[in-house]
This record gives sequence, structure tokens and C-alpha cells, in this order.
Amino acid sequence: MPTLSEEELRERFRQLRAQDDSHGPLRDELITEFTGLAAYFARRYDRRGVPREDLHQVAMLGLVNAVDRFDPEMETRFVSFAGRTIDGEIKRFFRDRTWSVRMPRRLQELHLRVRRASEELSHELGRPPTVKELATHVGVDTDEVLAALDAGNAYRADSLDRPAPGEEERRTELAATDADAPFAAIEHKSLVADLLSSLPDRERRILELRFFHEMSQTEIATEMGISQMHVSRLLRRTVEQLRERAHD
Amino acid sequence: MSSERSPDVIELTFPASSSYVRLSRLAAAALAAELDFDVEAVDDLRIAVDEAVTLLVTGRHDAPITLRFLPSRTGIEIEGRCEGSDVDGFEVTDLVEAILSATADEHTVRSGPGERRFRLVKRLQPVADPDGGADLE
Repeated sequence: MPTLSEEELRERFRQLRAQDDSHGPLRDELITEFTGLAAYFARRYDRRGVPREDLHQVAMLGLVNAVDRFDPEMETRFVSFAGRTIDGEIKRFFRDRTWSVRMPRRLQELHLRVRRASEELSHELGRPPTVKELATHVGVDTDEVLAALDAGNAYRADSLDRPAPGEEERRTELAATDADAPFAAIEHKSLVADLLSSLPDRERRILELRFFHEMSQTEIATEMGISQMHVSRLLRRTVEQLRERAHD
Repeated sequence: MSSERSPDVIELTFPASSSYVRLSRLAAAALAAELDFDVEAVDDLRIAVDEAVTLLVTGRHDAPITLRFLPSRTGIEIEGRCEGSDVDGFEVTDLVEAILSATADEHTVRSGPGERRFRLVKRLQPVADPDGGADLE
């Protein structure tokens, strides 16, 4: 468990940011301090057919990214920021594995490059990048970026949308909050209500935040600790499913 | 496209089949990308177009669908319509209504015997760019 207080921790980060040598002992110290957190997240994804050591490696990579990217002036506590980053890294790892068998390789690579670039640029600019900015950043033309964005929605990454066998859905904190009020108004329409109740909690929650609270995809992504592009994918897939079922 | 001349109008006409919804979506996304929408706005627009065009193609009618895209410096307006004796009205569920109002800045949907129409507007959000609107790098 971390031995530093929140304020001490922020002070360490300020020192680290002030240093020329951002890969020195202070960075190592911060990484070591939170190794337990990485291990905790790695364990959450046990029993999904991936060796534990691999998961641990991926979680550590997430932790290192978090240490490199955390802004001590942000309100967010490091432990929440790191948790989201680590969780995101693990999910990305699973998604990449899932896709490798389903999406043509060239498109897959392009999609991953575009997604990373989108995350980097969002972070850098403080807003979602434009399609042209993404194209410039990745070094491809806008058509290819559009194809890559569309591909992300066309191919599925099911593995993480369901709990592992025998595991409870863990995202209760997301599903259970002030939740159901916005849907109450439409629940009397039985078709829509049936469709909505058939959704997994997370999809239902994303749909609700986006369409009834009118939160942006980026805001939802931050709240749920996933990337904007993942929110986009889940949202579009869910809407498509609802539409298909409504027409059955 | 961003010059001072009269606005471009792009029209797309296709048969009333759900297999062309994707075409509508791609056209909208490509135009929005040209206008420098951010990825999230492009995504919103695709969802809105998907919903709206689906309203037009659904059902058993043979009337072709026509979409008009009106890109401008402030955003993009998209009108869709289909008319024909076998075209009937449709019901807009609360979910569809919620989706359209969350993803488009303005939307109207109208239908009755013989016609179905929609209009969507997605505005370009001003980008806060510290170095005066130049591209990256």
C-alpha cells in the first residue's frame, strides 16, 4: 500500500516534472510505490485465458504511463488516475488480442494507431482532435482515418463486455448511481423498456449518460475510465442492437 | 469549400433499403471531416444520420430516398425526404427522439401519408487553439 500522503505524492510529481531527467530514480520510486495497484488490476482480469505474468506486465505498462502522464495540478487523485489508466491498458490489450483474429491486419494496425493518436491528442489539446488533426498526426489522409474510425465500430471486441466466467459484473458503481430516473419517462412504452432492460448495465448506463444526460463521449469516457473511441464503439453498437431488435 | 461563394449542395438519391444507410453515414462523415469537425462531432453526426435515414427507409415502400447535404462554414445541414403513394407515417419513439436531440444541434422529423422528411443541423464548435488556428506541428 502507498506510504506517501496525497500531498507528498503531488509534491513528488511536481519535482519529477521539474526535472530534466524524467526517467531517473524519482520516477522509479513512484512506480514502485504503486506496484500493488497494478497487481490488483491484473488480478481482476484473471481467468480470461491470459497468463497472469502477461497481465501483470500490461498493468505495469499502464502504471508507467500513468506516472508519466499524471498532472499533479489536476483535481483527480493519482490513485484514481492510475487505476483508470491501468484498467484502460489491460482492456486495450484484450481488445487488441480479440481483434487480431477478426479485423484485417492493415486496418487493425491503422485503427490502433488512430486510437492512440486520438488519446494523445485529446490529452494534449484538452478536446477531441479533428479528423484532419488526426490524419496529420498519424501521417495518413482523412479517408483512411474515417475508415479506421468506422472499422472500430464494425468489428466487435466482445471479450471485455462480459464478465469472466463465474465473475459478477463489477461495475456496480457505474450502474447503480442516480441511474434510473431519466429512463423512467419512457419506461411506460413497453417495447423500448423491454429493449433497454435487455442491455448489460454498462451499455445501458452509457446510453443513458449520452442520450438522457447529454454528456459528451469524452465526459463519459472520463467517468468510466475508458477511451472516447471505446465509448463511441459501445454506443453505436448498442444503438444498432436496439434498432435491430425493435425491427424484429 | 470554405470560400465565400454560394454554398455547395450535395445530393444523394438511393433506393429505400437499409443497406444504403451506411452510404449516408459515410457521406456525412466525409463532409464533416472536410469541415474540420472533431472526431466526436463526426461520430455524433453518424449516429444522427443513421437514426434519421433509418426512419425513412423502414417499412414496405418503394419510394427512393433523397438526402441533401448543405455544408457551410458554420456546420452542416442535412435534409432527407421520400415521397410516394405507398409511403406512410412512422412513429418516433422516445429513444429515437432522445438520440437525435443528443447528437444533432437541431432536428425535425415529420411524416404522414405520402411523405417522410427530416432535417438535421450539426454546428461546428469553435476550437480553442492557442496558436491561432494553425494545424498541429
